[in-house]
Amino acid sequence: MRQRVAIVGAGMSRMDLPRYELAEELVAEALTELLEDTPDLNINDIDCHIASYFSDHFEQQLAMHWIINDYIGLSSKPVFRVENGGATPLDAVIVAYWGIVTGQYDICLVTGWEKMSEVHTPKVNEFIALASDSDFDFPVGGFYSGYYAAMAVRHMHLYGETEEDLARIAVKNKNNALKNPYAQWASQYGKEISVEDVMNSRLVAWPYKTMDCALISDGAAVLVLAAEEAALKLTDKPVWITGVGLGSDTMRPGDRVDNPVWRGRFAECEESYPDIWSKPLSPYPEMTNLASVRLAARKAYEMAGITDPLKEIDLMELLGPYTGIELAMYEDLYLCPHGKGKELIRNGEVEMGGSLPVNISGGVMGQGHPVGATTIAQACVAFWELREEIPDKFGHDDMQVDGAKTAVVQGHGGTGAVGAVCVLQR
Amino acid sequence: METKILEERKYDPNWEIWSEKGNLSPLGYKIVKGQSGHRLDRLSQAEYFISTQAHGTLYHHSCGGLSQFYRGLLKKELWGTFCPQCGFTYMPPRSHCWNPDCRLTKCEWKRLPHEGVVHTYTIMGFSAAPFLSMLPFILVFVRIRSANTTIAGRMKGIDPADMACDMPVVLEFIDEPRGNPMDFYFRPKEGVKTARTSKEVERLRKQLEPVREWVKKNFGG
Repeated sequence: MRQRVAIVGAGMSRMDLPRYELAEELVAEALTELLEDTPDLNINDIDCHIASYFSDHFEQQLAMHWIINDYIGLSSKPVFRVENGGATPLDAVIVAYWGIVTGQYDICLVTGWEKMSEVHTPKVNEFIALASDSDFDFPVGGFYSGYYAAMAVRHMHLYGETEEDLARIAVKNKNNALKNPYAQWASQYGKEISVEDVMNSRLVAWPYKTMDCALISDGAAVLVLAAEEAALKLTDKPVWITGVGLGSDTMRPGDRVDNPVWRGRFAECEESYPDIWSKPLSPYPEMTNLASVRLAARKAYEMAGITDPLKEIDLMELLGPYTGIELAMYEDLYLCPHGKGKELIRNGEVEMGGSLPVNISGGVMGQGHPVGATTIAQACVAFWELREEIPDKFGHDDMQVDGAKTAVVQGHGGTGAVGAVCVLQR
Repeated sequence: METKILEERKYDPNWEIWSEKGNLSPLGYKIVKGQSGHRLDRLSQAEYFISTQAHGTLYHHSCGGLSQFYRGLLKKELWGTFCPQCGFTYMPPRSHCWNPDCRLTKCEWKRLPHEGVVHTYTIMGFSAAPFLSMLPFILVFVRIRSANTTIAGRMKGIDPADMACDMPVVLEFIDEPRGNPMDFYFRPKEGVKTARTSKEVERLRKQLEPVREWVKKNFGG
């Protein structure tokens, strides 16, 4: 029988651009919170350290995790870095989970951070674009906002959502962030926005305006995972990792149209494809959706015994760097039939108070997007939700989902080159 | 064996010096007073020293088995690859077939037609650093006729408001190709008219105005 694995502690820094502290100081800020909340945990008890940061370019520092590791007093412990684009932080959690589930370690620390403020915004985008194909996609002027925008344009073409539908997702996420004292949007902008505000924000790559896009951030987040016996010594409120799934797709989104590996794999999605002449040989994921995430979700739900995600999941934190991809991922994460993502935002089902609130934290466009920390930070919020600690952490109970038992955290990298899903349950 | 140079387009040797200029030497500094603190309800002020450094280099990238594609560009020809076993046609090219059933069969080269269809597109109002002066521009993913993949490129000769998915296009080359995917671009194949409502056209034009002003202000012209 598999070893049960729980998250026993969580902590995150405040997200902002810039945070003037060093990366290691931001990790220390997050870890201090975790240690305060987990008084029975000693740093010496940690068996292994899995570290997550996305880019060596932002700080011109390779092997940054060695700096972090000794800074927090772990210099005798095994440490290594997980790097998988935007999926890096959630994949780091999954690697720590593997370390425990195999019986190798009892207690694993996961740290994640990114400092993106040292270079100017177009250079940040260039460095991120180096994680796209730098032989064909980047040299013609592509970068992530452009790739995702083109994917959204195709999705809109096939399934008919409007710029306003996308804007509603930005409004939800950014307004959620205003209630989150760790959130960058709360200090950077600090007031409620409307669909009109999104529509009037500066064009980045049509249909995306600045408010449709993820933030650029400095920040850090940490989690401690433990095997059942150790977990129950450290906390009386463990949050169990009950489902884990991963998947992948092509590096270049443009390669996906006829990809032979997808043919016939997603009958449920192919039926909804409109009857048009340009239908590719692989109608799902096409360039519109993330098959890597669908496979990851399928696996994670199966492991956790989830059969009706919209009903059984109480809250979801997903990595939606652009509004359109959040909408597409409602479909990929089985919250609705393929092509119907727009209905969830139109009906308010993914809002706080709806049947499945998505990105209560504000997500990457509200809480912040220090890439290597992002989904660890979102997992922190999910952890606090499941322990009903949001009133204490946020200073009010507006964002606490009462009685939450099941949360899902999702991550992906590239334009869905890799996908990851974790199911958390109390 | 010694490597022989068959053909060369030389670059200004000063680039060797320019690109290394800086080399992380401290150029300047600032001392600032900024925000500190773990949560928004626990903020404080602190002073920070910020040091500025530069770092760059030249990259000499071999295009490997795809060299034929780049040499084709110099002659204004589009060369793709196909799998002799399953027939899958690659543009961008690949040296080996990715179909799991083909067990990495070596692909063969063929010339591809200079036309295709816009699978999808976006109108760029912002970009990575090297492309800012070219804004606004249209990024397209085009399925070249007979290809099973789509290639990213630029669209020219069209009002952005007239862009649509599934639009037929022709591929044209710039006058002096340099062996780079920017050597070619796409134009509409036939007369186009907008699929957008007049309100949408007006909104898009309004969205593009500040982009054009910003480029003019920062790059002139």
